Amino acid sequence: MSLLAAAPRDLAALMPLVREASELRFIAGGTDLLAQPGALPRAGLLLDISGIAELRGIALANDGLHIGAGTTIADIAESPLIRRHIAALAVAASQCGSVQIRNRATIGGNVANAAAAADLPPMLKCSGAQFTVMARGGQIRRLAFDELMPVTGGTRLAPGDLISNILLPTEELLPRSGFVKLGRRQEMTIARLNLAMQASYDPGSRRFGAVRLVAGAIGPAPVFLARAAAALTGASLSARTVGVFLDALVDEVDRAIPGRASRPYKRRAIIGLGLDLLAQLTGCDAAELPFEGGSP
Amino acid sequence: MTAIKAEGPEDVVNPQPHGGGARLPTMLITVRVNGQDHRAEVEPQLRLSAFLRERLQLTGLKEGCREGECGACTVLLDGEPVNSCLVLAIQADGRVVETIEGLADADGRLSDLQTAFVTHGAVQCGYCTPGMVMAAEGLLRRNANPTPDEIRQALAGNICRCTGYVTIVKAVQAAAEAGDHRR
Repeated sequence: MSLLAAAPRDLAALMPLVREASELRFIAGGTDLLAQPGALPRAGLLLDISGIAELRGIALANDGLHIGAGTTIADIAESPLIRRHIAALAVAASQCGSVQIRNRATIGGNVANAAAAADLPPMLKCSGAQFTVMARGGQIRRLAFDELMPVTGGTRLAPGDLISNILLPTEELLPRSGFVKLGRRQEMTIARLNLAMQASYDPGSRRFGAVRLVAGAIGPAPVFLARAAAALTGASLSARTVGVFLDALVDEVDRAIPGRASRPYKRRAIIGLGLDLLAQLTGCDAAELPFEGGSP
Repeated sequence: MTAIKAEGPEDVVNPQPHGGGARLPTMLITVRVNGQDHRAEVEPQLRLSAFLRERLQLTGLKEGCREGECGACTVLLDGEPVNSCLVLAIQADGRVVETIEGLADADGRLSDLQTAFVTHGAVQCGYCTPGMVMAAEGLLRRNANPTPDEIRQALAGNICRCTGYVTIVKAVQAAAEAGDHRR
């Protein structure tokens, strides 16, 4: 037995290959698969889906923003539509890897790889993303974020399943968004912690409306930080609000990683990230945010 | 072509039968490399970096890490910088690849960018240089007047152990001022 390969140019050519192969592995950008020694199978069928145009593209429809799973992370970072409707997703994309990586890596691959420190899934969870998954037998399902990526980590993709599209529903998109990431380096770095936020915020009254907040790299999968989000919801941007918010962030770290050696570091780090996130979302300078207390 | 001993499945570079074994399944690809079309039967596992270096003898690009961290294997794929170690040769079918060997003109005259690297001391051991230059070339084609921060961001995927990057940034700035990088 040896490895065979096929590179279909459209979904109509792809699906029979998927149905008939006993063992198969998809490759799109290849930046996760080829970076792992020995990850390429030695037998079965390697299906290169990078040439399928139907899997690429970003479009605004009545139900929301549609992003083809084969869309590169570079295209997401530069997309005027993404920047207009969910700007922080473009920010997150611009911080994935390097230029070389972003030119090849795809949003579908980033989701399917389900790395705990991945940069796009937190923003996707925060945005209520839904995934269209094509099964080997031809069935098409639409899955909510937690249905595809459970809080226990990994994905619920079965062999032969292919993510074809990601939908960010209109009703889930709030007017403002923010994404911050902490790594060991400024660029080309894996997140030690990242935060993704969507919110309504009136700069005139300096008051928040609805707020959603998700943390990544704090467990096996992105998690909602409900208590920290609640600290901002309906509140004005005051020193007390910021303090309660930061205390809530620290508490979320304590709950998420109680026995981990990184907990003391992340308790402090999340305070800085929280301030950076508020600055990004409100348009204030982080140094000028009203701030009292906050647990060290 | 002399058979090259394979180190593993990913390094299979020669479609000739291996000693005692069957021929590996291959795919026919057509790739335009530095302006010339090449047709070749390649194994699915063959990386673009190995195809360029071993099949086409374009040894300018280097393999430093094989996991997309160092950037020494950077080439332009349809004008965009990529790590050729993370692209399979079969994925380059029908596409345009440019390597460092393709930057000089037909008479061998170095491009403004290559010249700037030489004159600004941006080359020491030279191992990172082909990848660094190709990443910079990709930047200058998109952004003819990058700021130093934009240059550093564009080259964040290329590691240099020798120069400390300052002379590299200066070289790219000088090339931006000197040249027209539109293609």
